[in-house]
Amino acid sequence: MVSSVGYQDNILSALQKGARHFVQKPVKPEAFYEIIRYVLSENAAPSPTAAGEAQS
Amino acid sequence: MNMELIQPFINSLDAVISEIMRCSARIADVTMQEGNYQRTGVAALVTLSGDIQGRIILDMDTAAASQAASDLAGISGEPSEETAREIICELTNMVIGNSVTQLNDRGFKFKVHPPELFLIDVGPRGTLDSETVLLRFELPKGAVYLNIAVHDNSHELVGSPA
Repeated sequence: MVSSVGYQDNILSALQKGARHFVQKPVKPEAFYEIIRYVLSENAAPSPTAAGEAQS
Repeated sequence: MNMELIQPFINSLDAVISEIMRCSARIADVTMQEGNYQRTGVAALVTLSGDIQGRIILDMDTAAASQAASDLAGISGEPSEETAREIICELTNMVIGNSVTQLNDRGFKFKVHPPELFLIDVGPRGTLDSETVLLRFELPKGAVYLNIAVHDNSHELVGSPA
């Protein structure tokens, strides 16, 4: 899920509803590419920690 | 003016411009506004309701919109009206979204309505109980205006019936 609103409740809600990752806009293209690769990989699972990292 | 409410919008605009347009936005002017808002270029408005009540207008002049179109969509030259409108809505979405994130982390709970294009030349005043501040940010090419009319509504909501 990609959103400009990245507070913790929003991220958790997205992940609980089935999002496999959360990225806050504006998106860094290089990081986004890696996240897409990760999400499309078979082992990807919802990860609040990873979502938090994506915000930085 | 409650700077606790204003500062997140300033920080977010600076961060989004820096990330998207790879340049810094320098605050060139800050004024308190009493009259109606006079649109400069292409503008979008976002309404907030809840602990924080009010509205924010993001307005870009033609030069800044052209630069944003180039940086966001790879368009050279002056963007079409439609593209400029899409860009201002997306930039507004990012600026407000990042501001909301900061304010939410500080304990404010409120609803953000989607950005609306601000098409009329002379727009609304701030609400009666809001002071309105207009910030002009200079970019290497052009300027961006942030018109903020918000107030802390959390105390009123605490005492209001469910």
